[in-house]
Amino acid sequence: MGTTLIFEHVSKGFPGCGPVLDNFGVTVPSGSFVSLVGPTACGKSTLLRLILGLDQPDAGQIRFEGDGAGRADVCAIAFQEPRLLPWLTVHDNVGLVLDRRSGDCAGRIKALLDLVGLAEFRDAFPKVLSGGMAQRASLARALANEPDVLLLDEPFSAVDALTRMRLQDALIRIYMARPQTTIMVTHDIDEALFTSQQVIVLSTRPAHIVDIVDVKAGYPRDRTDSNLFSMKARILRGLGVVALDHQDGDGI
Amino acid sequence: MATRQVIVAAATVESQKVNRRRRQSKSPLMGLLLPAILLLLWWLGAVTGVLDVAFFSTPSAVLRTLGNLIFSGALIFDFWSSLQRILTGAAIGFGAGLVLGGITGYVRQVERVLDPTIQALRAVPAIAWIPFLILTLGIDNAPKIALIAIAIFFITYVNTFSGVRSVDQKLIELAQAYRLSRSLVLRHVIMPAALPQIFVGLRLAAAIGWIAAVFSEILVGNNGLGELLNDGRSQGRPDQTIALMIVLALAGKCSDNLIRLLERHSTPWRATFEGV
Repeated sequence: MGTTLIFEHVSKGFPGCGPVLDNFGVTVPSGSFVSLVGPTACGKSTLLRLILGLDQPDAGQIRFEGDGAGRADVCAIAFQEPRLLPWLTVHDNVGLVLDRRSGDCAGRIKALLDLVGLAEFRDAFPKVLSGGMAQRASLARALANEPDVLLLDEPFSAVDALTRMRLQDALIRIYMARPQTTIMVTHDIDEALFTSQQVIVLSTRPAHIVDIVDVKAGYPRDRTDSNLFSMKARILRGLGVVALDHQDGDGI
Repeated sequence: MATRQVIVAAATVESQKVNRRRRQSKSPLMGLLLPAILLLLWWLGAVTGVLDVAFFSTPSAVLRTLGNLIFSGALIFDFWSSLQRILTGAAIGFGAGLVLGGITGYVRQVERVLDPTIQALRAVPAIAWIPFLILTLGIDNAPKIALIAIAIFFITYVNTFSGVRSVDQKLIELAQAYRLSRSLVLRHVIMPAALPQIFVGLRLAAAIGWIAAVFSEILVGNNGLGELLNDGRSQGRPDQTIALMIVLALAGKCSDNLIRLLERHSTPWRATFEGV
């Protein structure tokens, strides 16, 4: 059941900016919700790109173990920007990635749009959607083929605080209904603590793991939980660079 | 929140509709203002003798000639001759430009082989093809259609190519991340993304089509609007040349409007600045 993701000695660099990942290794157990936090440009998004196969590691490998191993559509991603195709309606944007062999496509799209609360906007073009709505459509698309591994690249960073909380609630609801292996990159430590079972704290480039914080609290969580707050302090200490990071304009 | 968003979205759609209605209701009348002023100046000039009627004719003479040309059937016949040539040449030139521009834009290897030659040929002015076309294709319909096709081909090629290359890399990445098949990427990512630029090409192509048609008919005319224009010149009839210029202006404007209408219908998803 599910798919486990194993990073083995993964290294990756880009011409002109040196090594981004150096001998990176971690195992993301099947069905777990893991967040990656770290300073800006430390290689978090590169990790997701490597998982998707958009980039290839210079050394090491990323292994999939379990049901999804070898399947082309084992992963799905919601990018930082919604990346909806402007010429397709919400319905067709979700339908585009849907596996045609999966049978009742229309029913599946309807269920997905109901899930993210966009049923009324099925025929709307992306230009009329608000940022939060577009991000929900992107999430529906990511969930379309019931991926074994769901990747989220700062999916809620561009929406206002209130909408972000609602989207986080929706994400937890979706995860509880079908707990797939989920890896979320985020800058928002509160978001990581609210949603994840494990928070992996990364260093500046080349990224290595500074700390792994296990969050034992069950879902749904209380945002005002004092335990979460003490973990936040630990993560901030682990980051160490937070103050410096903010000087660079991170989080603005 | 959902209700609020519905209202906001509905309001956005509504305001867009209002904007469109406002634009549509006002623009035709506003657009006629300048021609009306020019007409008035022309008429005043002719009446007061400031404009020599031997060269500039008069609005009433032009209108009479236009009527005669229409009722004698000459204008209809020659207009249809020109239009047929343009449509045939456009079909060939636009089709070839679309296919070659699309393939060259999509496949780098094809670009390396084809593009340098096409760019070099594009540098040859369309007019410079005429002697060669007359020598090879004679003086009937074929060289004229070929000239129109050549002129339209290069414009379509360049615009289709740049349309394909303007596709947002992030959307291509999205397609890769979701392992979309090549045919899906072509049909649902690249072609729609290139469409606005292709329409720019089509509008330019329509204009150049009329130019090439009239030019070739003036040079080697058996029939067509260019031939009628030539007649006007050789008979010293400014009323006829002006009448035909008006016909060409109207025809060009109509074809442009048609294309814009088509564009608006095929790209309702566009969210770009439409002017204040």
